[in-house]
Amino acid sequence: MKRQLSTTPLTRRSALGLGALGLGTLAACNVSTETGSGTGAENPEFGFEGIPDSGADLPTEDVTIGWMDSGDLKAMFLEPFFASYMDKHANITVDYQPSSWDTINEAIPVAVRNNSAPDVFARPASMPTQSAISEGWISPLDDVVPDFEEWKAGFPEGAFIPGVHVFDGLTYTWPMNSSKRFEYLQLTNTALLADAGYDPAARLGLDDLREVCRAVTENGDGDAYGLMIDGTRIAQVALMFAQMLGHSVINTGGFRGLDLRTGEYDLTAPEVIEAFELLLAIDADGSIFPGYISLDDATARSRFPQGVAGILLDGPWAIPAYQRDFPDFEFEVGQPPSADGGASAPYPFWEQGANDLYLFAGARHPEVIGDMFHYLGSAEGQANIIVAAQGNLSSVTPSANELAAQSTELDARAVAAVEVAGELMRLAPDPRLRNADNAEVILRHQPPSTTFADLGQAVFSGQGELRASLQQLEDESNRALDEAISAAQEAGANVSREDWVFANWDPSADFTAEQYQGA
Amino acid sequence: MTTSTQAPPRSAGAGLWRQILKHRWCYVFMVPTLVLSALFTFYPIFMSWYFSFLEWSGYTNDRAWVGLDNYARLIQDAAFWGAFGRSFLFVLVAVPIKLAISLLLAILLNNESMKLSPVFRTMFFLPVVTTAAIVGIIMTFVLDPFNGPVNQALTSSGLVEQAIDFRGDKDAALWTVMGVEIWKNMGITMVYWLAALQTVPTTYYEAARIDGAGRWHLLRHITVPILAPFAAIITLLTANQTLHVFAIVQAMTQGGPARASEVMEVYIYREAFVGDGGLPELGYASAAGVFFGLAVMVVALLQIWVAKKAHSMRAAMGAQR
Repeated sequence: MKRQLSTTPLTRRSALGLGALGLGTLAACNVSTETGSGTGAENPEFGFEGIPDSGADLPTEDVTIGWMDSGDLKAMFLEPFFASYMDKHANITVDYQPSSWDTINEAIPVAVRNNSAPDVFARPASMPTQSAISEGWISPLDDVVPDFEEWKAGFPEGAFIPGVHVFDGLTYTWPMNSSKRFEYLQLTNTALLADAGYDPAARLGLDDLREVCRAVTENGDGDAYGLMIDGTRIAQVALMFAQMLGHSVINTGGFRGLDLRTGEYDLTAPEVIEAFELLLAIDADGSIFPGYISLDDATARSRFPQGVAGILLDGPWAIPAYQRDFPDFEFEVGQPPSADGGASAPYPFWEQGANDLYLFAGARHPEVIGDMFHYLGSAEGQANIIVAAQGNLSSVTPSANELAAQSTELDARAVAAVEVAGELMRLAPDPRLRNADNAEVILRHQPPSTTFADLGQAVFSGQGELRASLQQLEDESNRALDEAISAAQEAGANVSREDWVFANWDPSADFTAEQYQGA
Repeated sequence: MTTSTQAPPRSAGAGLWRQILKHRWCYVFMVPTLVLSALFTFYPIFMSWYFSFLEWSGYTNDRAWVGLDNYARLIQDAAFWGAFGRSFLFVLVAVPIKLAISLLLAILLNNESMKLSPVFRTMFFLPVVTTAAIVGIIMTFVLDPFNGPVNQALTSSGLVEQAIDFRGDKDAALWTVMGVEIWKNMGITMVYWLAALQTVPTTYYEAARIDGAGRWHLLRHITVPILAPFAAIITLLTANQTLHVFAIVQAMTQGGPARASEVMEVYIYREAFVGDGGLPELGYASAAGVFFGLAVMVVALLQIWVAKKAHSMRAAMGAQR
């Protein structure tokens, strides 16, 4: 399967329109914090009121559909969608359970065994899709979504990835949203930076960051600090800084530090050392929020709007939560610090969709789920998802992004987050798109027992020497990938480490379908 | 002429059966407990032994018998030995402290002339019945280096210049959790001691006081010798309870920073359910649990043996007098 994704340059107005799959050309992100950045020129109507018939043979008796996912941004569009759907189909009730990942991880395996799982659920983190299929947890969508082939063709080529969505020719899930979301947006406390004498909307250089943090800390006099960060993500943030310095590696899950130009992990590059040393220096200055090592990301996120820190590096999911729970909190959304405050280095990512959901094999009314998926996956449904989420989500379907960009309901900060993603994120080559057998490698990939979170906590709590810790994790990561490839080969997959080498990859541009041929 | 009227000898089996029949209602009343124990204690124990010989994530039906491979891997796992050591350190430090402080409290609160002793008993016992997770979360606020009352007291009094990150400091995290656990569970050990103190007849104290014994003599020559036989079982109960600190550790540090406070239960949980980005390993985690359980059992048996030895030695010395 080839990937063919749009790479049209952005204008500010169409930043959201192509944000999920395109290239941004914005120099900075000094955004107004007023709601509604769309021009509304065409003024199309948005909302879930007019859900069209899909042709699904729906039940006429009273039925209840269970649906469990992790809520947050999804709840922003699913709740109005379900309300409209139930209005349209009075005999259908949706029992929507937005739950924490801990609950999903614990409840779904038990519920599946008891044959009482929700009809649609988010996959527990420790259950690979392939295992969920082999265990009979989930059903394919091919015979469930009406006009399946036509529906699937509405997505861009390459949106359905072997080993992610497609297994043995059957489609088990679909990219409800785009994974082109930048996880390290610079969220800046407007008042604290202004009080310290800095422009809250200005793009910082990494050298500036230390000074800014020091100034905010001094100005805060024990009540506020320069940087809010958490022990579980500090190493990831350091790697992201290394990426901003030009170190083009993957920063996702068990593949953090993988350089796809060589197929080797590279965690000991000078950029990585420099990034870690910068954070260590900021820590030595006393400019990081006290007790950060024992914080988790949720706690750090929840404490930031209380005015205790100047800068937080977090994902777009924080934006609607702050606006809902802390309406008086003034903050800016922008790019993280670059090498010199100027143009950014690219941030490679794999577009594999986000918020994937699965159909329970024991679902009593799969036709209802098929009907829902049919609409939610259409360009119109995707556009309505984006608008209902106020622009905090984007679609893998360019036309849906373009349509949603015309809405006047989008939140300016959400649009700014999409602009950052468009500016920084570039499609990295995906070994599964070169050779579908690599799905078997990912299935068998057991990351080192020392996690990235462990590495960060060890280095910043003085338990581990920086270079030695990075070298050890690099070696263990390379060994883990080799072992996964060997295990996949033993299982009959035709794979090799060479599948992970893309010598023709230019990290500053999206990797195109044509480039897979020449890789 | 005399005739023997001796009954034919009965078999032991028949005697046992008769005994069972005679006390059949006792056995009937034991059935619910036996069933529940079988379901919720013995079955899980046997299954964890079985799982420890499997390569199994716990999620799938894909199980492979690997014999002792999990144990072989365990022995080479530095993280396992780290957690193993921390668990025993926890017991070695926390148990004597709990025993000593709770004994002192029990002696003080056993004094009938102290009118408020029931109130104090309740106060010391209250943390025991408070959910460990809640205590852990509350303590994260209490010990917070940003605005926690403990750090505010320390810095404002000049005892420390900088706030201490009790939970995030590699040298402080384990001791912090230990301190909270001692405070939380000291009450139950105190109750054990109080129960033991109830066995000391007040007439002994009265007689000793008439003979001119002071408080120290009462403690040394009456209280301690009478409590000594109880000490072994109270120590065993306290040690066993101190090995089960998952909730408090998980709520306060999740075993961090970088496993610096990871005890065995947290290690097992991490291997069995968290998976660290890969598949969880229930088989391997079961092996860790079984291995640790056996180690604890050995320590307990050793403790009982030492207690019996000491008891018999004391008895022998008493007989020689």
